[in-house]
Amino acid sequence: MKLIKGFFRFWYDFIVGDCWEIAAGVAMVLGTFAFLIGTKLWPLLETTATIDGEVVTTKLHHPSIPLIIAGLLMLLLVGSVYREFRRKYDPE
Amino acid sequence: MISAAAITLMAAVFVASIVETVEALTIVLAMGLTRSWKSALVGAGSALCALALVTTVIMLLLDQFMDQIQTVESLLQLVIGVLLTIFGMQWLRKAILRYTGLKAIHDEELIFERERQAALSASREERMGLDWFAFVVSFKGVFLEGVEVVFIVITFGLAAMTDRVAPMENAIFLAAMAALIGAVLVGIVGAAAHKPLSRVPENTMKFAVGLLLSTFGVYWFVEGLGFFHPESQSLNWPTGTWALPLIFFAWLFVSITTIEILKPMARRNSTANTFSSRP
Repeated sequence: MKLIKGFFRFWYDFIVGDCWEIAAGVAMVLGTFAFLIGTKLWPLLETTATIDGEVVTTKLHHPSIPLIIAGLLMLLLVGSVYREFRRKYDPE
Repeated sequence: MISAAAITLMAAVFVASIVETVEALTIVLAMGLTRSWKSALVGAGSALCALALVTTVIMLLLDQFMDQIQTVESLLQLVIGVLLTIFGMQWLRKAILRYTGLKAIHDEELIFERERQAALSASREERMGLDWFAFVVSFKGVFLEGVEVVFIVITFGLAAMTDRVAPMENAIFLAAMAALIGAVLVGIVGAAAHKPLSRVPENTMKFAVGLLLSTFGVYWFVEGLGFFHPESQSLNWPTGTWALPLIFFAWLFVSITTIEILKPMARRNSTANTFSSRP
């Protein structure tokens, strides 16, 4: 049991480290967009290439989802750093 | 001819390997100089063997399941993307905190002195002809730092191997070579200097690695989201692989802006605290 706990503790410390907000934020972004894409609430655009009427490849794309996700993750980083600043100089 | 993507991959792994090896070297040096060189080197060597074993097992497993993995490419991209994003953002966050003065700069000489004091005060226990404290501390230090490099080598290499636009068959091999060269270089310099490599610009290197990991992490994270679509295809970026330099510069811009805004604020608060604490 101790070995199993130690194994999971090691991976938690390795991936999440001392800042759980980053991991939690990434998980939230992932969960939200997984839900939106999976349920087609936010539909993706499909481009298909065909040869003689037969679909050869399908490409999924969207003009703004990548930009929104990148923007959210960057905001998450800035928020985490600012939170650390507040924690140090404004502990109340 | 080596592509720009291959060069970027190797550069990121090379720099990460140097950073981690410097940290591991500090620990091994402290144990060697204070307790026992034999025990410290056996510990370090055992850790390297353990890392090689772990890497080999992972590679064999991947080789076994590569065909199945490649049929669900978007899931692989998602898993690697999420892990690299979290990992990269952690590195980037710490580097930014150090630049703004909110976290102490990683001082190899201070860490060396701390390890040395711990080694001096630890009891003398011998097992299998080795100073057990020196062996265990060296083993743990090298293994833990090495695991980070192995993680970066495998995730980067795997994602580069399965990239739809420009797959690199030998990506993991190239990444492993870059890591090994970095480690050997630091080992040679460390052995010659016989002291912690405190003049290595560690925070700058960690900042650079954090930027690269976060860039590739976000890129693959977004591509991997296509897994949740009924088609389970990778989601394409609007500008294709040209998104990579754009994401990189966006992370760089955001990081530098944060540092430039918070650094003077932190300095002012630090000065105010100093004056208010005086009698």
